[in-house]
Amino acid sequence: MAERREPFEGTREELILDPWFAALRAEPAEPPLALLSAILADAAVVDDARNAVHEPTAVVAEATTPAPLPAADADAPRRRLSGWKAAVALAACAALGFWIGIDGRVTVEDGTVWTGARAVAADSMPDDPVGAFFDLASAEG
Amino acid sequence: MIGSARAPRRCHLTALPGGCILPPMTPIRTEDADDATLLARYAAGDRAAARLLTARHAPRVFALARRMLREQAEAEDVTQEAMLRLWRIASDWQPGQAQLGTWLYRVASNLCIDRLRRRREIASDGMPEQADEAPGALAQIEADDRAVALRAALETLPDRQRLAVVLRHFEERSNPEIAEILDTSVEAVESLLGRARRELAARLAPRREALGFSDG
Repeated sequence: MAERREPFEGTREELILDPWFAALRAEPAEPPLALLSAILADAAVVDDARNAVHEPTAVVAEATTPAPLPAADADAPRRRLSGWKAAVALAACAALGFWIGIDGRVTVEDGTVWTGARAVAADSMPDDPVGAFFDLASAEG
Repeated sequence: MIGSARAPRRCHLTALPGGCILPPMTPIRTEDADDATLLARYAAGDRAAARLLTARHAPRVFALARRMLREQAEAEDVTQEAMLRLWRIASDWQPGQAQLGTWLYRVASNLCIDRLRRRREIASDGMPEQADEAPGALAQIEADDRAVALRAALETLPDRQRLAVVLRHFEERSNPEIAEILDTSVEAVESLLGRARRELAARLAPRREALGFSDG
């Protein structure tokens, strides 16, 4: 059964009660100043705590985000080799070693470790290199 | 019953040096700003907004608690707790989800009802009951004081009826707003108020002449 609505039932009671309510309404109910100060202090503390929580969170977020590799790290091998010149020399030596390794004309038995061109020259050297040197010197004056 | 003698009020969360006096805040030019805007500003770190919200709502919450609990210290505790909950949810507040004042009234109402229940539990455990909550309390009041008589009559009402009367007749909230605060329907609020008024009228009518009210 639906509850009976009583839109006007309070009217008679309200007439009776109104002056009573008015008497109580007239009583002040102001909050003391100390209470307001305490409420504002709570607000400040909550605000501070919120800020304190948010700051470390940002640091953690940065730490967990993969950072791009710094440019200095990409250059680290060159720095470890003490500069461009050393790096180029090392690369040239590596290439030379590789070429010697695959070039069948140059062998360890030849006693040379120079280039193929020099090795070819070594093959065509005269049997008496000292005499040939003086021959060349006298020919050139 | 909490004793009337109590330590000076301090902030809930920490005891600031020198009590709870805050440093002066920068003035804010948004006295007319709505509550949700002020709360958002507070959540963004504007403490002047908190001061405006406190000035706007704390007196109302305190008045409600004072009339519900009739105990100054408890009313202060309820007010501080309700406002503290507001500060804590500030950053999560969704504009438009509820009126901030209504939300505060609801929190304060629940806190008041909790305390009234606790009082009764303590009383039923053998603690001396307050005289003006006992049956026939009205008859014990001989003072020619209408407010005292009404307060005593109010205390005989069930908690939700008392809350509805306080919100309607002292805080002057509308029935739909009271329904929202009590988390019930408008019809249920009307029913609560009707029963409460009948009860109050029945209790106070015999004292009308004695307290100087003329028939009307």
